[in-house]
Amino acid sequence: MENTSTLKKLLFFLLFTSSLYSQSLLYIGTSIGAYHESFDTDDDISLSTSIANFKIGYGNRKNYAIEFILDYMPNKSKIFSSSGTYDGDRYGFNIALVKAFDFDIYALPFIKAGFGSGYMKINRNMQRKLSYGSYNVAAGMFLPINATLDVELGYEYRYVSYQSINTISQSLQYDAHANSVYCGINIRF
Amino acid sequence: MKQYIYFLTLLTTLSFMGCGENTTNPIVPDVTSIQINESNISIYSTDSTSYLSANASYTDGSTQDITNFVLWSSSNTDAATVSNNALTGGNGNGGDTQITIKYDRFSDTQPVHVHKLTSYSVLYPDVNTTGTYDGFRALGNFDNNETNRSIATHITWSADNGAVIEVKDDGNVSITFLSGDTNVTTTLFNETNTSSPIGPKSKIFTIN
Repeated sequence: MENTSTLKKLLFFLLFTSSLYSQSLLYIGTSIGAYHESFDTDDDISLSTSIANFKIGYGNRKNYAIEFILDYMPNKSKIFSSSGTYDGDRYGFNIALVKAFDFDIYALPFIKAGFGSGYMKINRNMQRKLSYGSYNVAAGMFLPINATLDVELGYEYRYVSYQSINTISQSLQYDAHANSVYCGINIRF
Repeated sequence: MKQYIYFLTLLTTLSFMGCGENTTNPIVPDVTSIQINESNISIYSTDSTSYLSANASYTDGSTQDITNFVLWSSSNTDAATVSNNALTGGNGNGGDTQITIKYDRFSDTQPVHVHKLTSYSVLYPDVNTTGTYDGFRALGNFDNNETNRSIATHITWSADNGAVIEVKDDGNVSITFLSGDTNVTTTLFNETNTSSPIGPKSKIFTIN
């Protein structure tokens, strides 16, 4: 009875590992980068921080893919919060379509386009959280290490539109432009 | 080649991370308080509407008019009512109330005293022939010794014999008379007791 159970586990493990090495097109990835955001205002309002993300993708490294990306940005700005307190760290979710090109060189250039949303805690008397929406485009390259691992280098532009800030007498809404460069790895199953 | 690309990318990333500054002054000043601009408010129970106003104060020291954005309320509507920012004496003929404004977590309150009408008189123009006559007015005396103050609210003018009454905002009244006897009656605060100092008053106009 015990031998049967062990055999089942062994079969399951072999099936599982072989399925990972088949062309399932699924991949995961993570990256870190630098992020700079400038606001559409007369005053010079900006934010510089690092950005980290984790993603799950589905698609071919040499062609089309779709990515679901969670991103995180530590934040040390006081753009929205009252004096004396910082804006909170940012958490976002993005969806991007990827098109990679195989020019038969070592690197695989790609372009991406997508959209997303996110939020951060802020410290205002009438608002504790601020959400935002974004459109993003990116370009870069995959540098394959082997069949399952590649390094990803990229540049991304984001148009960010923030939720309105309520000041009772008026509702103020801000937009910003963000540039980031990043470096990451992808593991393909 | 590989190592060169990795190194170049890392260098670019690090140099990018090093540049740029974080803004440390809020882009939008925050609200610190809201307040009713008027204080020591007192009105007369039969006055026309008084308009109040409210401001918000911000972290940068500025203020903004928020009169039309806050919720206005009166704690004692018998003494006075407030609709948006329009303050009027209530049906109770005098008293005290608290006017409150509220917005989100902010609020402010001001006491309001409403002077009570204690007696009144009515001014009638000379009426000789048919036609329209201006100058019908009611004048009130109040509990703070204010006398002959024009009565604008809580007064009802009525007339029989087909007379047409027009009441103006300032409390002046015009009446169009037909021939015959016309009884003009004033009633304040729906008081029906004719022996009360603010009870109904009537006068008959005869036009042949």
